[in-house]
Amino acid sequence: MTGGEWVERMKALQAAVVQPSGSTAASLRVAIVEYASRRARGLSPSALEGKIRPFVDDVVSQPTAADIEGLLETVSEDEIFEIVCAAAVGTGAARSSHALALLEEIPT
Amino acid sequence: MKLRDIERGKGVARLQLAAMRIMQGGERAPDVVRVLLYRPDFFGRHLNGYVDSLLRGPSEWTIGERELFASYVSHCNGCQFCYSAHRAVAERALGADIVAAVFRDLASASVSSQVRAVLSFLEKLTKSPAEVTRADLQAVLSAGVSRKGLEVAIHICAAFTTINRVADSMGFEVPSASGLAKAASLLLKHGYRH
Repeated sequence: MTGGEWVERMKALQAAVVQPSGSTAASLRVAIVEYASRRARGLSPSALEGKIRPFVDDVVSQPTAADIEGLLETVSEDEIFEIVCAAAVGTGAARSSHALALLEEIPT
Repeated sequence: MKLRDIERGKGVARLQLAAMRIMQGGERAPDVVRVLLYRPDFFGRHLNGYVDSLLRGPSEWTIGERELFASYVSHCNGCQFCYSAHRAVAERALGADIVAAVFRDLASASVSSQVRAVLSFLEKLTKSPAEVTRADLQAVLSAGVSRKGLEVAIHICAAFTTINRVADSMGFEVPSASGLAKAASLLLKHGYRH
């Protein structure tokens, strides 16, 4: 397995959580991935729908199962699953994209 | 709280969970299995493939060392489930004393300078990614870790930060000591693609 293949696997994971089909709009999931990624990298976060934002903030920082409870009143289980996965992938991908970009800058 | 659909399984996953229960003598499948089987094309199949290639693919790191990296990242993220599960695998592969020493005091633990450098780096990348600089990566390379060895560690951080967030959001329960030992034995034998 080469480093490039791992990058491809992470890209495939990212592509899966923003795929066109789903209970939430793909555009919302794209926004969540971007928001989570920017927050994880300490950048000013991009725009995100107000109702979802506090929940995504929790997933990015220190999530607990209790966070889901409040959201279930207005959002379906499938939607929650998709939001959690998108936020988690954005948070994880921020680590690899930042560190791998820095590694690229170091001459071999 | 747990999501009902994930707990029960959906479509084929429901049958798979029922079959697993029978094979495990009536024991409930762990939460992580339920989440990975739930709409696998959306998340589980891709994460599983990524994790298997990182922890079981060819590498200059032993399986035990990579499991230790996964557990360490999970510990830094405060994810009790992933920390415990991967610590159990690392203990089986490396020895419980060595792993305990790492979590007690990394500086004095009897691990190679390369493993120590990677674990220190992973702590910073996990807890404060925005503060990671080129110098941090250079320090790992200077400790004798190859670029490829560093790349796999970076990806382990990304993959486990992802599943740690899902695990804590979904309230994954930490299995009993015997459950952890059983799972560790299976994961060492079969990896993550099953």
